[in-house]
Amino acid sequence: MKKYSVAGILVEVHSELPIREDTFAPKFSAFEDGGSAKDNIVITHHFGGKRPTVSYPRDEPLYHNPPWAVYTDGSHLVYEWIKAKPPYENYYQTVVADERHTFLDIYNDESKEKLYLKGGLTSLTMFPTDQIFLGRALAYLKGILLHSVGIIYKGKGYLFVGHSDAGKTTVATMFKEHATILCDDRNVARQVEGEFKLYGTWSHGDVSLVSGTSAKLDAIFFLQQTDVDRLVPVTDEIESFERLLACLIRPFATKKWWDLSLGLLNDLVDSVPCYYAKFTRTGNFVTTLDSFAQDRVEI
Amino acid sequence: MKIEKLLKWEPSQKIVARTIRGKLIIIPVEDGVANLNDVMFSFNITGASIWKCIEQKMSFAEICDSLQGEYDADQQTAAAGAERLITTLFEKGIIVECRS
Repeated sequence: MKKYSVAGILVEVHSELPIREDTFAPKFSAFEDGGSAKDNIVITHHFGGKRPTVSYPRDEPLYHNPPWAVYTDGSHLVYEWIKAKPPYENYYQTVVADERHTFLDIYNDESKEKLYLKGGLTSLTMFPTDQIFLGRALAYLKGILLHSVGIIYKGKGYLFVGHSDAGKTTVATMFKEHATILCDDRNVARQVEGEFKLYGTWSHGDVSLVSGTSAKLDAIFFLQQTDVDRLVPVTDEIESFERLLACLIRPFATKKWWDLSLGLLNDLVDSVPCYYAKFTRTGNFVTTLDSFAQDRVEI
Repeated sequence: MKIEKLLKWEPSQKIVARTIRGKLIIIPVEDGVANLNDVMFSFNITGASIWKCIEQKMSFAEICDSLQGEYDADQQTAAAGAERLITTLFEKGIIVECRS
């Protein structure tokens, strides 16, 4: 068994095949659990052609959009990895989870077994990305996963929010010599004991630096590539809400999931100041943020 | 869409609605993977009032009366505004006809 900690959540990985030192990619070493995480998620990998014991109506999917179809037997969610064209055969994996995703039983086919034995896996679940389970589980634990760069600069947690062309890689590269990069692509804001904390994840982009550390979330920045380096407060809270909503990572999204996530986004906008981060590619934005961090800036 | 005076609607079970700082935001649940700009409705104050009426399962005539009283609008303006929004919501499956 291996234990990892992400966003203050303990993720235990069990497997019917041995878990070697190189089963999971080196990036996960930053998240090996030191015993501080409280809530937990248990992932179990099954092999050897085993199939789930739950039965579910395959003709009544809750969701059907290759590569995933999702079903329920009334008490579990069942994910089938399906082929792109009719008859949408199930292959690779079938996953049984509870609604909150506190456990995931993953039934792998032969090709996934080969991949597992090869090692160097880039996700704990062997899904294309672990955000499929993490994004869902977080909503029930007062957390949200955002398209973003997370950094800790001079002890303060800053979240730069934006889609893939917004400049996340540029910002992460800019700060990699000056700050702790939590992750350049997917980060978590989670409400813990009344305040929002910032955590990285292992789902990185072009900048492969990741960190399992965390910090109080001091500010949120909406990325805007311009010809000046400047921070501008967002005065319209609806604007902040809608920008965060647009960058919210959405897993299999049920009504309950949306309700929890929208409520949390509302609290986030209430609690954490938001700014437009207008930046150039010159690198001068580091100085702008430095002044901001030291409360020396007129904005 | 021709709306009869006694017709009533209710929010579909396939949406989540939440008021954020006085603005109503509606998200169709089944469109979780779609572009949010296409699926999110954020209403102005009048729209939020109409939505409240729909949640209370008011008839079209009652909704128009409520708008007239709340915004001091004439009957024709209130009816036109309500009809426009209700038609959009109905066509997008955000509300359904209420049979009760």
